[in-house]
This record gives sequence, structure tokens and C-alpha cells, in this order.
Amino acid sequence: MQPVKISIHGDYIDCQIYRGRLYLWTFDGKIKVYKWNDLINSLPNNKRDALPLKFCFLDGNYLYKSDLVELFHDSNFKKLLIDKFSILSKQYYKLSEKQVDKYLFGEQDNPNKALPTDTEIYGSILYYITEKGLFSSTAHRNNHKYPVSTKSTKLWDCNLLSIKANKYPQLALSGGDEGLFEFDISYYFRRKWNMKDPVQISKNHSSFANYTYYSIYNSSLNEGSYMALFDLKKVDEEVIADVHNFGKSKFQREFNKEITEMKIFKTQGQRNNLSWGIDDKIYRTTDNGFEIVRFRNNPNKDKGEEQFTQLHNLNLQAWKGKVIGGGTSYFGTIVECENALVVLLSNGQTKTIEGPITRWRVYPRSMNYQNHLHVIMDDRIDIYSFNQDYFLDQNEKLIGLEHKTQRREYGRD
Amino acid sequence: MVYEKNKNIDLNPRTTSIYFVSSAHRRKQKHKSRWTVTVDHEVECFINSQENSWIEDFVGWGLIPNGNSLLVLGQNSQKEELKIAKFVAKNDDRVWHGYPADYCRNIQDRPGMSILSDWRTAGHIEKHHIIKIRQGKECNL
Repeated sequence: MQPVKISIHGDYIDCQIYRGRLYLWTFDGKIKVYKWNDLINSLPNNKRDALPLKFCFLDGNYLYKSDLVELFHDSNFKKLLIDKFSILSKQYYKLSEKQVDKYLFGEQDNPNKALPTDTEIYGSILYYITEKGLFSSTAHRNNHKYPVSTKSTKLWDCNLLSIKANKYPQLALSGGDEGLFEFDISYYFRRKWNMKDPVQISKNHSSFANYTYYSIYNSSLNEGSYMALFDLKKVDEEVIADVHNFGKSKFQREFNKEITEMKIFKTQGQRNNLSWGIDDKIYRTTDNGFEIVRFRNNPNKDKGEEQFTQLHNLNLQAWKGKVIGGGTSYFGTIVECENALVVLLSNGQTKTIEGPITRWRVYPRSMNYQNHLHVIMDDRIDIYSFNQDYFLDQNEKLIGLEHKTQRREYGRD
Repeated sequence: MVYEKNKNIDLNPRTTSIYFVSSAHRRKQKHKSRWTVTVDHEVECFINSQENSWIEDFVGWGLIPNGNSLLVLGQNSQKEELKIAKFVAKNDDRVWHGYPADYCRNIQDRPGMSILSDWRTAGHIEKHHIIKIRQGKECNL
């Protein structure tokens, strides 16, 4: 099944999608915020396309719902939906800036007038890094003139490579040869007057990082990658007010140890191989494929479960140039090569997006956009929707994250 | 023009700054990148950086266009090719020296967005290079 694609013409340098709004950073220093739902609802020429378009671009989580899984066991019903997605994938929605500007919520200069190196939106706060440091500004405002607050707060004076938010809520900060850091953004929400500086998690090189549940997988393009393993520890009643609330019990997240890539994969990787992890899956590229490891936060030792389980080695094809990035969502795994993006879909198929590629993003922690892949090209942004994953057994699949729950994550859209 | 190593070079009238060609960045050292282009290229790269005001926070940045790509200026201790130059001012703000910047390995060796944007506008690099340089990723400059 091919993805459904929308292209929006323009000279963009970054993008985010959050709670019904598409944020596009233009090269000339503006942020354009679009009413995404209105834009998508304007697309179908045929009533037949309205429902699958909604699943593709507005409510990517809907078809994962457990009560629908039974329906997908009915081959006729499943075929009907797959056919609808297939019809849609043959259309290519090419939109000019003028066309999408009809759905503009607001347009403004970047806070600080600086183009960001990386951005994240979490809990209606925009976090961004420039060469001047880590900043935050309130986003998702109802102010059409300034959808993002112009009053930004400088959170840290450090020249970073990338940032990644998690639900606990934390922000992983990759500082290259200066190491991996973490910023506790719960203080931002609860105790802005008492914010703490980020803490150094590791002095080892960090190119980019992502959360494997409440641990961090740190990827390095220069040295070995590693997992910064965290544990949850029960906390005394007296200090409960100071810690996060994980479910009904009160736990504190504590750093345990660093686990090297070599221990995780049980072999030393080749010099040019790159590994990355998010939640239950850790991937490492080989010269022509992948090694895949399943990570369990709390392995049941009585059942013989291990923290790291080798799942499979996949042989595919030689990568298109050196591998320089990677990421994973439910629909598949994305390998960023020097000259292309290669998307390994959860059904085993492959899609190659030829470069040059300025930036790409997936949103696995969002509620509605888990099936999106946003790719910024030289003259446009391409927004892909992948829809094959709804019909797969989530326990059995090797590629892509396992979709487990329908819980709404705090702070996410 | 032939410039000498380890001497302050007065570049008036092209720039009021003085340039020092450091031999430390011309020999193999464990933790330093080194120039592989001629001293003349190094100094021209600096003058070009000054003339174009590719300077931010007292750090200058430079490159030498070479057809559709950039000239290899030097290499790091792993012998990887480097195509961006970094210039820093010594003691007072007038005497500068420089070295090939290793943006993949040293976080401080990355030009900021405004310099990279200028380079894109001037046609020296493409948009995708900007993000890759800022994120410390290899790219075909």
C-alpha cells in the first residue's frame, strides 16, 4: 500500500504539527501556523475520499482502537478500507502557498529572529535551539497575530545539536562532543520560578537521542551509541510533592547506568553503522540492512524475559550513501542517508524518498499524527500518511513500534 | 602574493585585520585539524570572510567555492576532509588565526544559521546542507 501525500510549496526549514495546527518555519525567518483540520477538510473533490482523508491526516490513531481490530479480521471490511486508502494514494495533493494561505491561522517573525536548529512542541510550549542556546515560548495560543509568544525564555546557554521531548516530561539535549543532557520540563509547568539547569547524563558524544520509555537511547554519529538506563524508584511520602506522579504510585525516575551498543547488540558494530531506539525497539544499521533488538523496561525474569532480546537481522539493500540519521514510528523505521530517506514499512515493504532532504520528522508520541512523515525538500514540504500498520498484528511485527495503548499522554495533542 | 608562516600579516587595504598563519595548524597533531591548501589559499579565505562579514560573536567563518562544490581546505586527525574554515581573534581583536573547522566532531566548529543562510543566498551551499551542518551530520559540501 502506497502512502498518501500532500505537498505544500514554499521555502521551509522546519515543521511541527500540534493539536490541529501545522507550524512551518520559513527560510526568511517567519513562522506560519495553519488550521490543519480546515485545510484537510477542503481537499476532497469526492465525498468518497472524506473519510479516508480524515484517517490519513487528522486522526491517525482512530484505526488502532481495539474495538476495530475485530472488524479488520473480516476480510471484506479490511479490503474495503485498504481500497479506500489505495484510491487516495493515487491522488497527489499539490498545494501552492497561496492555496494553503486560505487556512492560515497566523504568521509572525521567529521569536529572537533566529532560525532554529531544532524544535519540539510539548504541553503547548515550543522549545527550540539556536546557536545561542535552548529557548521556550508559549505555542498554540488563540492570538492570530502571535500564535507563538514573542516573549521567549532562555532556558540554557548551550550550543546544541538536537532536542527530543518525552511525556514524563523531560527534554533530552544532544550536545555533540559535550555529551548528553536532560532538562526537567516539569519544572517549567509547575515551578517556573525555580527551574533547574539541565543535568548531564553522559559525557559521551551525543548526535541525537530519543526516549525508550523512561530511559534514553543516545545515538552518536562519531562514537559508539548507548542507552542511559533509568529506573523508577518509590518515593517517601514526605518528598512526594517534589516528584512526578506515574499512575497511582509515586515514583522518582533515577539514572541507573549506561549500557553500550555493544552490550545491547552483543557485537561490536562496524565504524559506519548507526543505532537508534525509541520505546520497545532498538535498530542498528548494517552495511545492507538492520539488526533489531526489543527493549523491555521491566522484564519478567520468571518468564525468562530479558531486558534486550535480539529479534532479527534484516537484509535489504545497500544504503544510499552513509547513514546519518534514523527514527521510528508505528508505521515503520526511517533511515536517513546522505542522499535519500529510506522508509522500511511495518509490512516489510520499502519506500525510498530521493533527496536532497533538508529535514524530516515523525510524531510517534502524538495522539493524532502517528502515521505522518513530514519531509522538507528544497522547494516544498511533503506530508506523507502511511496506513498499512492498522491491519498488522502489533505483537508480531519487527519494524515499527508496537502499538499498545489508547491512553492519552499528558501534554501531547 | 606569497605569505609567510608564523608572522603577523598586514592585509591593509583589503581588511584592517591582521592575520597570523599558524604552523601549528599545518603539521599533523593528534587533536588539531590542519590546512592542506596553500598558505595563500588560507589567507585569501580569511580575507574573503572579512570582506563578506561572515563573522558572529568574534568568530569568523570561511570557505572557498570550487565549481559546484567547495574546496577541501584541510583534514582532521582522522584524515577526514574539511571544507569550512574557522577564524578566531588573538588577544586584541585585530590579530586573527584560523583552522579547518570539523563541524561533525566539534560542536563549536559549526557556523550559526545567519552565516549559513548567507552562504546559501550566495549560492555556496544548499538548504539541506544548513541543517546537516547545524546537526553535525556529514554532507557533500
